[in-house]
Amino acid sequence: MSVVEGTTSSPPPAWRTADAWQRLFRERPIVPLLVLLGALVVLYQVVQPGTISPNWVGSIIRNAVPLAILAACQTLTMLTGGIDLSVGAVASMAAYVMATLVPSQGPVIAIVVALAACGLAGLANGIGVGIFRVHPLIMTLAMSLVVLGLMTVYQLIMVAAGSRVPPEIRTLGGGTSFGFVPHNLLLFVPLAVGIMWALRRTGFGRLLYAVGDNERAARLSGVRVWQVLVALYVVSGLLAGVAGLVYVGITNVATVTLVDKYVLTAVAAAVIGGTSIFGGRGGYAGTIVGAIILSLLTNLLTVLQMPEAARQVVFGAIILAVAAAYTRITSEA
Amino acid sequence: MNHSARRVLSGFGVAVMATALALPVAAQDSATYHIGASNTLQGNGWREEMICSIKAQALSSGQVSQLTVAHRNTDAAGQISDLNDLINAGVQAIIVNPVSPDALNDVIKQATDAGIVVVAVDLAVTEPSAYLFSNNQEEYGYVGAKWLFEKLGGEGAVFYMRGAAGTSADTDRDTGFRRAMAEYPGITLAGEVFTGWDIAQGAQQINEFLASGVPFDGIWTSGIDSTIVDALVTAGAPLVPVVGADNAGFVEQLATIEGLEGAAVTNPGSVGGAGVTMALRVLAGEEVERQVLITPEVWDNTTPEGQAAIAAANDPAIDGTWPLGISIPDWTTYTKDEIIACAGPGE
Repeated sequence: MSVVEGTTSSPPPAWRTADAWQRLFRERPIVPLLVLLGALVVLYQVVQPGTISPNWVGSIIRNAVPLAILAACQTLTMLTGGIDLSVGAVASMAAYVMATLVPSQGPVIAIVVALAACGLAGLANGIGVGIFRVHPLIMTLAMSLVVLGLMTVYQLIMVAAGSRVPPEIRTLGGGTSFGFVPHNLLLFVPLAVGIMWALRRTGFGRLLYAVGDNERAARLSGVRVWQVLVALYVVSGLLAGVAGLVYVGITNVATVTLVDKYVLTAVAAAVIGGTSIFGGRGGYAGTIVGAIILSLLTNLLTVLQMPEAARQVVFGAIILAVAAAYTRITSEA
Repeated sequence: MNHSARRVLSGFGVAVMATALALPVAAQDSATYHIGASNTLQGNGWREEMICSIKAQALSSGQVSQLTVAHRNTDAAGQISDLNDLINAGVQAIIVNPVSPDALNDVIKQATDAGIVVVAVDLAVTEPSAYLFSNNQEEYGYVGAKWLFEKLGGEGAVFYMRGAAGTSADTDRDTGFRRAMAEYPGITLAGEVFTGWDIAQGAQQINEFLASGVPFDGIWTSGIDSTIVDALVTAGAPLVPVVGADNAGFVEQLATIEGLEGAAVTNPGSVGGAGVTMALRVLAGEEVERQVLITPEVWDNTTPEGQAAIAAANDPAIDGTWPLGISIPDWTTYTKDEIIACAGPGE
């Protein structure tokens, strides 16, 4: 000990110590994420010179926005140690219910009914998780099956109803201005700012962290945990609904499985973004960068013309590597 | 309707007819067959139409008293268990859209050994005792590609948007597509992607492709079609010729979008109903070919015949993801209303 103390007259600069890096990752996860994002952009430029343009950036962001909204559901629920695997089915439901109701009810009622249905699904999740203490993984997975089943029946009823995506939704979800500024940012920027503000500055936001960090302590200090969870899953359902409407604005075709494939990508975006699946740590800014990274990565793998199987392996491996690096670097040990 | 009319007829038991028509009347009148169906993908417009077609044809045939449908999202193991359940339920025939060409062979062999007629629809199985009713997927790839290459005057770059990697339908279509490419050496690929028959993924791919600025003269899609046209319109990109399937949304675009040249290649979900007819014919002791492959039609909006086919099929009320080839001549007898009602015997 004394030897060490004696020889550390010139310690390495703080930025080079593992400790400093760990602290950086733990407290400002967004910095290394932005570095990773930058590295991917450089890699892209090397692999496919000349592709990077305002148009291209716009297209990546337009695709990242609905994913980031779906990932918001995961971020918020993961903060409490939960997860919401029903977002794919619920988002698809929003898109499909909205599109099938537009011809008969008009866009406003269609959107309201669609979002109300999502809120109900979220409420059911919240009651299951908050009151009956069903594990969120089981509860939301089961809910996704229930929603898909109901939608399959609904689809057969509505198959000849005509389905239309209103131009407002298409403009908002899929449109661009000046050729490259995606309109869905108009929806997303206020939404994202709102979520980040709510997490940092409101009682509800702090309760999410408190419940995830130590539910028992939260309960003992007077928090009605079940109320927090019910409200949380309703919010998650509504956010999933909004994501579904943005997706259908891009595709202009609604199906009952439209968003299914993005559930685990959304979980990955939140995990890459530095939110712990064990609860209590994380935030939305990292998730947004995570969604952009995944959107870029998907595009990169497409451009590389990799065989589908190899793409899936690489995609999975990268997510795993980043998540593992996180766990290691940010581990409290 | 038909069914109850026959009931009434036989109910009167007209004696005069008895000797002459006893056999055929008995065969038609007795709606006695119990048929099973197995499908492994839920919520997909094409597959839903296939299921409705199976139900409508079972009802319309008047020969099916009970239809048991195993229709859920599952894999090979799940489908094997579904098929076992159908065998145990005592069905006389099974219509199956197989999840894999060879994973089901044992259970299919078990069924056919027990005297059950097994008809694979849409996709083939390698078990030789099964019958097959399917669209000719290699021709599907070929005829659409040939139309497109012809349209481009044999010169140009095509964005090739395939289906799901590794599925037999995608591989067969690719074989047809490459055969057409070999005939038009001036055609090159501007890009090749797998949409996985996923609409959101296809939308992302076309948007990224458009943003990349790679020049292209035409687009071939494996059925994720209307979304691609919408992306071209939204982005203000040139409306190049597009090949898609006979999905209601795409056919409507072919009929209505000014300046869009395109062709819908038919891929009817009604192969399900045709499979029911095939099974009933085998059960009735008729000679039936082991494999029936129907040749896809090309409905292009640049010729009078194609325009007529599009106008006849176009129905904006139908769900955009449902194929419009809702019946197959000689093989299905239900009406459009009956398949949309999606009711089977006893429903």
